[in-house]
Amino acid sequence: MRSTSTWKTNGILWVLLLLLVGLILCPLITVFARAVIIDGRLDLSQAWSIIADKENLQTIFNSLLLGVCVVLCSTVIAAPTAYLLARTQLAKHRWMDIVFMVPFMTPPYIASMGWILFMQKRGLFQQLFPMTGSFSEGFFSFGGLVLVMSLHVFPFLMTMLKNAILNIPASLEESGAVFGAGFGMRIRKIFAPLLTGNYAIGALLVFVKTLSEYGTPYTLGRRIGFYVFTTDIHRYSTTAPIDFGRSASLSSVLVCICMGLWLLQNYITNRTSYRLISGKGSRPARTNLSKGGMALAWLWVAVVVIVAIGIPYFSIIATSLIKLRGYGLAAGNFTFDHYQELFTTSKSLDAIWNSIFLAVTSATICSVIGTIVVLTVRRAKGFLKKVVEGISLLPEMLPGIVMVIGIMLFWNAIYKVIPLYNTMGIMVLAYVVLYLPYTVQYVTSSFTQINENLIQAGRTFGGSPAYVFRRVTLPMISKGILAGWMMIFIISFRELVTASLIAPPNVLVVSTYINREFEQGSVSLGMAMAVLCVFITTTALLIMNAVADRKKAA
Amino acid sequence: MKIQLKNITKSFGNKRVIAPTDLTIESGSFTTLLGPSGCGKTTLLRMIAGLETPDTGEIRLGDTCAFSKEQKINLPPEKRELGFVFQDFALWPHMTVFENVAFGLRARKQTKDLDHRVQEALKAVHLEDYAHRYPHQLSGGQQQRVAFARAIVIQSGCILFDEPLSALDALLREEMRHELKDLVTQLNLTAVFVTHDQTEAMSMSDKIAVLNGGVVEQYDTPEQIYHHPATAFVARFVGKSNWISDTQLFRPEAMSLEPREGDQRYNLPVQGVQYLGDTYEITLAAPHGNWMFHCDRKAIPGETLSVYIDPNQIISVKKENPTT
Repeated sequence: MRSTSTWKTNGILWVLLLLLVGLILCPLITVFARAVIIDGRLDLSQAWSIIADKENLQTIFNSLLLGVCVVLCSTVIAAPTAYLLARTQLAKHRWMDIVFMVPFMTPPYIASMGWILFMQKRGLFQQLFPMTGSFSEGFFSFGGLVLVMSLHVFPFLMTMLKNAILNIPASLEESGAVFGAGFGMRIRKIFAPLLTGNYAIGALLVFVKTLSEYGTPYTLGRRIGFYVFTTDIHRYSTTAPIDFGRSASLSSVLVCICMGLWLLQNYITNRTSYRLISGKGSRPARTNLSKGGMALAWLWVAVVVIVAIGIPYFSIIATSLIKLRGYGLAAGNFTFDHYQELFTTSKSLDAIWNSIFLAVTSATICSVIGTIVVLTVRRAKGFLKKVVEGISLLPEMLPGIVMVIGIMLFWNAIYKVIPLYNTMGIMVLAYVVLYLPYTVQYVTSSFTQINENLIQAGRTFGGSPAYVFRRVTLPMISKGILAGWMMIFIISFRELVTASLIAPPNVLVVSTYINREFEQGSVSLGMAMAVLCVFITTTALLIMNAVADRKKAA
Repeated sequence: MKIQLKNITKSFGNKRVIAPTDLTIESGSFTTLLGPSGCGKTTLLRMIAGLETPDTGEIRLGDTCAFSKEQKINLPPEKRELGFVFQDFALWPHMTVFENVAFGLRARKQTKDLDHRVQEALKAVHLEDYAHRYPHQLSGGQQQRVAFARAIVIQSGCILFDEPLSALDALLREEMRHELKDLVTQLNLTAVFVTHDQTEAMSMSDKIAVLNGGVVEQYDTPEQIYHHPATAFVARFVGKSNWISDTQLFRPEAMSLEPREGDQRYNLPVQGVQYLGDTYEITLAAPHGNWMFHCDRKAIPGETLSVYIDPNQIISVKKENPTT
């Protein structure tokens, strides 16, 4: 019986391997192949000369510079905020955790548009403060780009740092004090070293995210003539003269950098994750701020919230309500017409339906495949298991744009065998490939919370494997599956880079609709769609939280 | 180092955790603060160390005043020159054993003979070969020893222990108990030891302060506390107590199956018997709750036994205050 079940597991494992290789590895290999095979033959020196091209080197340099600056800038925002939320009286305001997630949940291209509308010539800032002259236009610079990108990623770094701070038992610093170390020395010798590992990991992930980010460099970076990996890859693949060789070689370089950073991240994690002994009697430490200190703390939080959330959302919402942009912010110049137009014209309705269709199908397919992957991998052993698990998580580590380029090249090449390219099908497929890791991670983490004994107990009390799965395992991982589904729904609903590269002609989704209206149509209409997009994804998130809470209470 | 607490109180919010308390800990003594969880013993210790601030009163460490509400003195922990062994050991995971132990010396800039002093301290706890390991590479008992070495190396004259043995398993706990006590005696240290374990308290201490609800119920030698508990709470918390009435009790040794001159006789049914290897523990159903005693013969539950109690060993205590 045991041997047949192992055999069955291995069978499923092979099927999954084949599926994942086709979906994920083949496109990736196509990218590399395209980068080194020129005019039908392997030509490494030619491949190298494309990479070493002066324009390309500038792009690579730009990307790396941007990455470093975003890491530094987001650290400046995240570190003090994390400390305040972890250690001081602000910690009891749990709602702030949610508020600070808003910038991270806001699609970067929408936040960038908000900033552009705010800062541009005759923009909202100049309307509100006419006496400042053209001061706000200084925003359209490298510094502005760094700021907007940092405002998007800092919550991620902040959450990591905050949790790391909370994990340091108070006794480690108290013992420092008892053994003669003053405040400065405790920070230097105990607090900071204990956080270094977590910070390094967070900083690396921010760096990778910045390199892979497409939305902000596309909306804001292009405006100031600052080209990075993602914008160049996109440009070479979509604008004449189309040069897939170049975009493939840039993609390969980007993949190599990202993989290198992931390995580095892994190395640091293994080396510096001390097992903090948090047994009995360990409590998180607290700093009690004085009244003045509290005032400063609140001021800091208010500034961060205004800059990270207030400004972009004010711009988007205000613009979506303005009747005639020429009149700007003026009484009587507000209207809901743009929203009405969204729900009455077929172009916008189609875009909404397309996005909902893509989000629901890809989330559902991911949930099914991802859950099967996790269930199979958990029962399997050996090399094959590691390979399947590794491939399923690969898209998470790679920039989305590279995966999409790979899918384009691969499915184009086999068009004669499977004519999927240029249909909605290829979009669903691309989304599934990109977001499969979410299901795998959510389900895996819900599994780690299940004690193996519970399942064995089910078997002991006479349940067949299928019965135990249905009555014990499935209900317990359902929360993970649901969370994964909702997460995928949210990010596919607003996905920009895939849609702009791979959508069949004349098919618009929410993100491309917003983009098109922003660039060459009615900006107000675009912003109304942006508000709607944020509204729908936020509602989805709230529903998920409510369902999860009810499950917990039950 | 003599430690004096005068009129110390402490509340967290509306909850009073320490009632006005005076306590003097003699130099060179091993003093235990004993009580159930939540009785305020750890808070008291942390106030001595400077990790909590009392609401009122005064704390003197030797000749220095470490805290005084009236004179507005409050030395921070780093200025109090005390050793402290934490419940979770609180070893810094990013430092080697050597650096953990050396920390207090470096912080106080006493770097003369640093290597030698650290090695001496490690030798005292038999860990001289582990200097370059990291804490997570050590067993629980070894971590405990490092925490202890870190406290003795600074030669502060007084070490505070916050339930240091509670994180260890039973066997190791007993072993470390002996080791700890021996070292404290050898080094002639003043020790203040917090525990909820009466065996630890009885076996190690020169004096025990029994705390209950933020009040020191009795402060005396272990023998006095056992044989002459001041309150019903102390009688119940330390040792086994068999109650004759609300205010009268005797310890199990006062009862035997053989009558002696002047003994009081009781005929009681056996409730339960447990065999402990060297003895039988017999529970009798008495009017004021069960009585327990040890004897070398087996009894059968339900059987009625005649037992004899030495009236000189009957202890009278104050009636238990229902509010505490």
